[in-house]
Amino acid sequence: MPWRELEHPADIRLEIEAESLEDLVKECARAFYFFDLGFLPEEPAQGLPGKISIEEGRGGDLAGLLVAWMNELLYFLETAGRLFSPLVVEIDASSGRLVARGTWQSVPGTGGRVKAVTYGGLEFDPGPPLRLEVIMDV
Amino acid sequence: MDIQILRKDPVRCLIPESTMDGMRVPGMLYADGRILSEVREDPVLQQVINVACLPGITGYSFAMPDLHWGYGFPIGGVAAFSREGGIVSPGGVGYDISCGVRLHVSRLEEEEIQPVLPALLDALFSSVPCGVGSEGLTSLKGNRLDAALKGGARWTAKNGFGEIADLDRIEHGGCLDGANPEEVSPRAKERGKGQLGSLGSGNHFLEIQRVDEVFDPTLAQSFGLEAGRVTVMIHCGSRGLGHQVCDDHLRILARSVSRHGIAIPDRQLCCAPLDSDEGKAYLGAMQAAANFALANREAIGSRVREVFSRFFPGERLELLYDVSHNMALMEKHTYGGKEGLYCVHRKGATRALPPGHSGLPPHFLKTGQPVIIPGSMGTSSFVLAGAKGASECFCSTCHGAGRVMSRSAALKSADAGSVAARLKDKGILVRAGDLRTLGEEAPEAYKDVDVVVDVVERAGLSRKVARLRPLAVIKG
Repeated sequence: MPWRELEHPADIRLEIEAESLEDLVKECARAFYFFDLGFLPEEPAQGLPGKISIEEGRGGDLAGLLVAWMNELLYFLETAGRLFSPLVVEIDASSGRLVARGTWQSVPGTGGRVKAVTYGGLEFDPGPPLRLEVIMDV
Repeated sequence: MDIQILRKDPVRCLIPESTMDGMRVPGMLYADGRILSEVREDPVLQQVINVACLPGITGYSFAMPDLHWGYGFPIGGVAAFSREGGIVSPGGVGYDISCGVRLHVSRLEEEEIQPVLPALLDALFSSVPCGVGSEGLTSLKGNRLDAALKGGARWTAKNGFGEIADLDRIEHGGCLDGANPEEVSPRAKERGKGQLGSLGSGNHFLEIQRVDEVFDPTLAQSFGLEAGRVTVMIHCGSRGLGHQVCDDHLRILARSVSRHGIAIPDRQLCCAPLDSDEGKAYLGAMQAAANFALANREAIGSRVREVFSRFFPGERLELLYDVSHNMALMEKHTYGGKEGLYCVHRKGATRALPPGHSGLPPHFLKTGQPVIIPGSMGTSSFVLAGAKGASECFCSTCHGAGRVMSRSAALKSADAGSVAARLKDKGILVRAGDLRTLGEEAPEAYKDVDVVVDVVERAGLSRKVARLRPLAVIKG
């Protein structure tokens, strides 16, 4: 796995790595679902096509945009029981914009154990490889 | 950074203001030798220092003995910011806004309940939604949700999910008047609309207990606590709604903090001046989320009463008190000889008003405010009462045991099955919405709550009234 769990007394602290920004976005999604639901999503090709767009605006940073991305996935999972697998990612940190095209799947029940992806202890290292350190509140 | 810690007395330690540039006040840890050794190398001490740098902080950046690493502010942290020049910070409240605990007291003896305990626990487990993604007792949409956000437990009681008689035994009478549902985003409302009356997951629980030891017979009698009596404790908060409110306003404040000329060492410490538009918006939304938590606990309490009445007709399960341990509120305090208004942030800390305090309802004026301290799963909980010494930390005390072990380390040391077996050996029944939680919440993952409570009593922040021993637990 391109991610690993780091020590944290109460919540889930993760280090996620990837060779490209697009892959980091995808790995953030996989890591989020793995720790939230306890399993990895099925192959993306099996779902219905869809898109997620995030507009954080200028003045933010890449790490914050990735936190917003994972919180977007959390929102759809908790409120609609829908899981998104990104296939193609466009990301522009300077304008705070992320667009992911992929597929939606339904999962039984709503929500998982993660209650929020947080900004606490948030770190981004441009690498290589790109590395994000993030804590999820459970 | 090597953090210098000066021991002031056996239960107080100081982190001097000179430790880091930018500190406006010293840090104050309530810790004996054992607790200090547990946190000596922990990032939580840096968090105490970081909070001491925020504008308007008054007195100290306090940390209770159950302190551990939080988001921005430490869990177990108390910080008061003056009305003039002070700030409000979502990080000082936490994601689970108004997470708190309530205690119902029965007239039943343990011996009466033991024969039906497994059936009673099963009935509670099927009646009170719990676990990840659990849906609540009712779905609230549109105006009804806004009314609940505005009215808190008052709304719950008036709409048949609770009891009017409970209101004067809930902090703030069950409703924070500053709530502004318009500052709660549609997303937060979407997350919360189906969750009223649900425990949720993580460290939240519903526990049937017995009063195991009385420390102060006079206070215990005033609180209706007698050795052997059965009590029910409920620990939960504002569910997904509160988390979304926190996240929404962190994003807003992260963008505005530099505009207000405030430098922060950690993004999760983002904040806004109390008199700014962003600060007022957060305070309004946060109080609405707190009302949701108050409504939630009242609804769960009502459902617990219904279940108990099936087994014990006529049993009232009187509410002793319902108190939050994740809040920031404007409060009047006298500090350094001057009376003033402060925005007191308590994150993993409990308000503890001493006897005679003007904020107390009449029935607690002589006793001081009841403080409910939940233990970790399988260990004792405590009822305390606010004491005069708490005024040194803006009438605050601890909130619980505080974790010392990560969830993954806890799972490595004990799986769900072995934890359940150990609890059974101790005569404690358990049901869990999520089995994994049982392993993560193993008793050894937490500080010894006895030590935590001992420190706050020795520091004069609160007095021990009674110890409660678990008989049966529902874990979220």
